[in-house]
Amino acid sequence: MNCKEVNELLLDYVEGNLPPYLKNELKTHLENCIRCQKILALTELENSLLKDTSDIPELDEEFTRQVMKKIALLPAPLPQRAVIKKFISTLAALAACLLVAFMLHYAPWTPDKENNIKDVRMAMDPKGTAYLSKADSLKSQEGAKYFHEDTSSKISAPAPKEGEAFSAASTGDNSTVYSGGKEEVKMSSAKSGQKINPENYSVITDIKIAGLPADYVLQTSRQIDENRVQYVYTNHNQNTITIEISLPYAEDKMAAKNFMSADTLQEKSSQTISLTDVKSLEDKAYKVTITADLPAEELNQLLSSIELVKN
Amino acid sequence: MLSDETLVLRLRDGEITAFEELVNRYKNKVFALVYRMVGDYQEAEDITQEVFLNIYTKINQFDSEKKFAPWLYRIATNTAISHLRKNKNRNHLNFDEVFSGLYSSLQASWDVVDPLLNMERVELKEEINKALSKLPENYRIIILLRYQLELNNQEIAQILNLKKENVEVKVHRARKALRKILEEQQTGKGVKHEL
Repeated sequence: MNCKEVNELLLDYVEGNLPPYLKNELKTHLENCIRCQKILALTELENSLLKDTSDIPELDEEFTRQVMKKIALLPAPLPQRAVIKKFISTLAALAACLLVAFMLHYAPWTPDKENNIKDVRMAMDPKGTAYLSKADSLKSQEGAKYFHEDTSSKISAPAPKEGEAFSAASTGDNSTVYSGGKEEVKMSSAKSGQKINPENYSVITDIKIAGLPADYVLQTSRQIDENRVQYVYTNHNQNTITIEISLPYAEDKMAAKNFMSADTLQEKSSQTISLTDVKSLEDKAYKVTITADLPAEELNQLLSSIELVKN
Repeated sequence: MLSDETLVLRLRDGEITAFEELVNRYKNKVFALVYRMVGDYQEAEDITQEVFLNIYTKINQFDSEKKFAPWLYRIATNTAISHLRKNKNRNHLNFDEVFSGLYSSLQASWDVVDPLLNMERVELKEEINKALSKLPENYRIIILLRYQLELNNQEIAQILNLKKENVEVKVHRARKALRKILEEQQTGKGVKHEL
């Protein structure tokens, strides 16, 4: 082995990538060659210095705070491409089946037979990955399957029969697609960080809080389960105000009111407290719970300033 | 300690503090990578911030069956490189173009080895950093991923969109190019030593 050959192998030697026979040959050469010994020393030094980041200052806590502050203002993350990829084969099969079904039984596809379904909402699934984009491509045909296709998701569902609710299942992700009314399924997509219009609360489109402290912004609004929606507000210190609205606590608002006769003051921790009240909208009662790290009096004021806003 | 991937799942569940933990875990590694790429503290800090905002907005695109770190470094790498290209027409060259230009003269110049070896560690560190900054960005990034972040070939391949088998070759070429620049820096100083 000559110096040139040794030189070519020095890096592998230093990094332990050489097979034993080459390693031995190289060692033998190195024992007798001062030049190559020096190149070896330089290579080892370079390796150690390239790993050395001691000259780079570290980022402080303020950096993290700035990032967290900025993401609070960002729109929700985009759809989950990675999951979609996994479903491509499923989707292709589904699309083929639907096509065949249409061709055999319902052909030709006539857009004028679209019913008045405007959109389908996929409620937040437990993993929080549900989404659905534009509504305008939702097409349907009586008795056929609804098929919504866009770049990010696909859903399919049997057409609702008279008097039945629309229900659908998504193949675009693992979320549940919630059903709507028989006349018009008017829903919206629900994803983390975006305002939702839960069908279970069809009359509520938003909540208004008159006394919300100035630096709190809406961070997430999501449906926790079919009975509860949650709005989370945070400020730059990452303090949070959580407002949870539950399904009509009782059919009769009075009954609910009696049960909740006194605002429940619950000690969640030494600082965080929850207050609950019942608010009505369109003859329905909703249980509204607010949780925050604020003095009880301030929280109570906030709670009383919450207004459910109708569609 | 929770795994990165568990934190990602929690973030998807709306647990924003999980993201804060990820930022704290990776901010210094990402910053060090970006800083060596762009060479300016303020610019590096801004880019690092942008990296984490990108991570957040793309979090649903992350395949949770894979490791989080390579995915994060891929975004960091792409963000840093796109900044380099946007801001200046820096010395971006194709791996092989660079290689063919430098390879012919990659034989170690014996006369600079001694001066390099005789330098104080801090001084040689500076020389290496200087040489790194002159290296084409594709070479620079592969060196940073391999040595600074100590990633394996599989991870580097994933980040740079290369075949795993090609990573080792490119690391070698990058190291040779770095050595070449290091040597040129020395001969440029007029230091000549006869062995």
